Amino acid sequence: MRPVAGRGGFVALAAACLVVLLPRVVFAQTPSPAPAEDRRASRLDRLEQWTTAVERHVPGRADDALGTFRGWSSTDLSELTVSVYSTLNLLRNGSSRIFMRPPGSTRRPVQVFYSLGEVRRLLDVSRRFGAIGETGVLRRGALLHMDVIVLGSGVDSASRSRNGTSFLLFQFSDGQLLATVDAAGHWDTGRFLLDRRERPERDDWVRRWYRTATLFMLGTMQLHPGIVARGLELFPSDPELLLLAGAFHETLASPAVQEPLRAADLPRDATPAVRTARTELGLAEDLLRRVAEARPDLDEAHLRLGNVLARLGRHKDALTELRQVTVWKNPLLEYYARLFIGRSAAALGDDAAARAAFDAASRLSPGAQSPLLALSHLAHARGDLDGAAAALARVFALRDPDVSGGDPWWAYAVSAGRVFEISKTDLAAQVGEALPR
Amino acid sequence: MRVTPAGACAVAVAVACGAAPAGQQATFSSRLEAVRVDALVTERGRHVTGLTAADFEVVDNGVRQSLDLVSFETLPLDVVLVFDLSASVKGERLEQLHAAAKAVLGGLTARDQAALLSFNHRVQLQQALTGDMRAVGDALAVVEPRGETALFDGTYAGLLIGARDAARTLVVVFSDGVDTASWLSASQVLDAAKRTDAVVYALSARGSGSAPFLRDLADQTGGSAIEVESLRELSARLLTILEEFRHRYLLSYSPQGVTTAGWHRLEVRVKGRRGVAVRARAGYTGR
Repeated sequence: MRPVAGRGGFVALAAACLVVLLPRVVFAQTPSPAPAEDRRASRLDRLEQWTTAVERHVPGRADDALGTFRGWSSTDLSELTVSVYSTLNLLRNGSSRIFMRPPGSTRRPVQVFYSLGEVRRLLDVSRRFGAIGETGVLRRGALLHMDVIVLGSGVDSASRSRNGTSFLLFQFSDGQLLATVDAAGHWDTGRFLLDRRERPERDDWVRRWYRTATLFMLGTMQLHPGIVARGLELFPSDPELLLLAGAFHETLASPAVQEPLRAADLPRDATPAVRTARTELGLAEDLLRRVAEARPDLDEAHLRLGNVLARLGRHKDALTELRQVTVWKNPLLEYYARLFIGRSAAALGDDAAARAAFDAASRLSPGAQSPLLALSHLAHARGDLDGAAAALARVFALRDPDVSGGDPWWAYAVSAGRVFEISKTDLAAQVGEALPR
Repeated sequence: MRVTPAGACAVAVAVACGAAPAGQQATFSSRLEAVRVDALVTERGRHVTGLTAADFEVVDNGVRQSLDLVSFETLPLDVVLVFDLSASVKGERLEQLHAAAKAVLGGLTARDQAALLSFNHRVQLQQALTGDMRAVGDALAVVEPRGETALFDGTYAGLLIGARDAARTLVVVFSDGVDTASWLSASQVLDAAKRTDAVVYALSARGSGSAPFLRDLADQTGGSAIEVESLRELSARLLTILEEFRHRYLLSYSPQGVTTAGWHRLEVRVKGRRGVAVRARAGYTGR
């Protein structure tokens, strides 16, 4: 068994952890330094460029269309959503000449003004939208913005910064703050597009977009709580999204997120979208319990719920949950389960059960150090120095992780995202290739 | 990741640890029978020397004990360097760490031994306890910082490396970050520390998330936790630690009037001397 691997090799060790904060200012405030006339021309240019990208992008392929957004700021993307919204209105009602900003982007309805020439250009773009079909535009657009992140740098960061806009990303590595950058807003643009579906909560493709996005975030520790929350709002009873959201909050409770965030010097007007570890664990417990009850066949729900309960100090409950699964179908999940069972059994003083569980974990993953350290500690706590030393000697004798496969425990935080590629391929297949020119 | 020789030699080393080297065996035949307490005695910041068993008072779970032995600067040292070599320790930080290790190894005598254990997400014994200081330095020189930080796992392993030896064990833990990868928890490692004789001196970069754990560990073992502003301070700090450790008294007694198992709270005092401070482990867990 090998740990979860992904783009750029060993994800758990290579990926930076990003935490997105709540918006400092709403999208309506667009402090544009450019003259008004240039700005209007520019936004229409961008709308046309975006439409071309939607038409030409082959989902899942790193093609030229992804380069469309090179040099765009988060303000440019938020302005794009206004232009797309206006164009969709024209698509639905070609005679409409009153345009509003999208609902939710401002506190009160705000009108958007276009010159006659601009309206003509909007009409041209709406005809191009019509050729693709509204559903096609929204889905292809959402997938395009996902691909910009997934096939690009892997991070939703803006290549150009404009003060006072959208979100901040806090970039961590090895528990330390590396950088604070402006978020580009590709995830949020995808969310905006899918929210334009008449009944997004009835569109299974939308559900799968949120599933795929959350899988990517979990698998790479690029954490955007707003996207996960919106997915749950739309599909509150979906077991897959509940499980992933539970895993998401479990991750937000981890020291890898909590510790650097606590030490980070946050801007005054920024509010972290991450709560205390205990609160995040409580949220995770609620979500995972719902899915474990609704879908008792989902082993991973029992596994993660067991871990969350143990982290909350409720080892008896944790063992009950972990023992719900009698035969683990996935060896990776079984490895984690054996470790967790061993931990909770040891905490409850059942050394024999703990030792058996850690031994089983070690057999499942012979290159892993965690079960051996656990066995060593168990022996040491009993006063068995020989046993403790012998288990530790096995740790020191482990071969290089690049050869042996290492310890899947190191990838636990990102393991929930392990089926991202399958999910994304499935998502892209439904949208199809590039449109004929 | 580099393939280290640690895996090949570690088994042999760990097994060999079970037997104390010749010449060191006479002091204590068994940790199960005798309790050893390492104590630093200072007066106005200066080390107090020349004390004998009659000067000390050790109270074990409220029961005054009779000391068998007090040693001062007589036993050789086992110095276990437990270094964080995760991704955050790169460039100048690594150079400073090398310089610090070189300084402390240079400060050891021919009777002392040293070992090097590194950790990122993985715990690796780079060099088992040896009197060959050059070998320890060489082992550090080839380690490439990368990966996450398993501070708790690494510290636990470091505590056990010297646990079977008759020498006095000084564990020096350095970390500049927060634990992100360990299986063992902080409380498990602190629990293990109560069962060993090792004294831990912990160094961390100021403001790093590891400081609270390292402070608890140092308090538990009677050592000291030091936060450094810059890693440039490391060499000097390590030499100070070594100097301080050599000036510690090693007290030994066979517990009387107390049950063997469980937690034993210790109080160590110097009789009849006001203004004298004693730093020693807070207690130990009997087996």
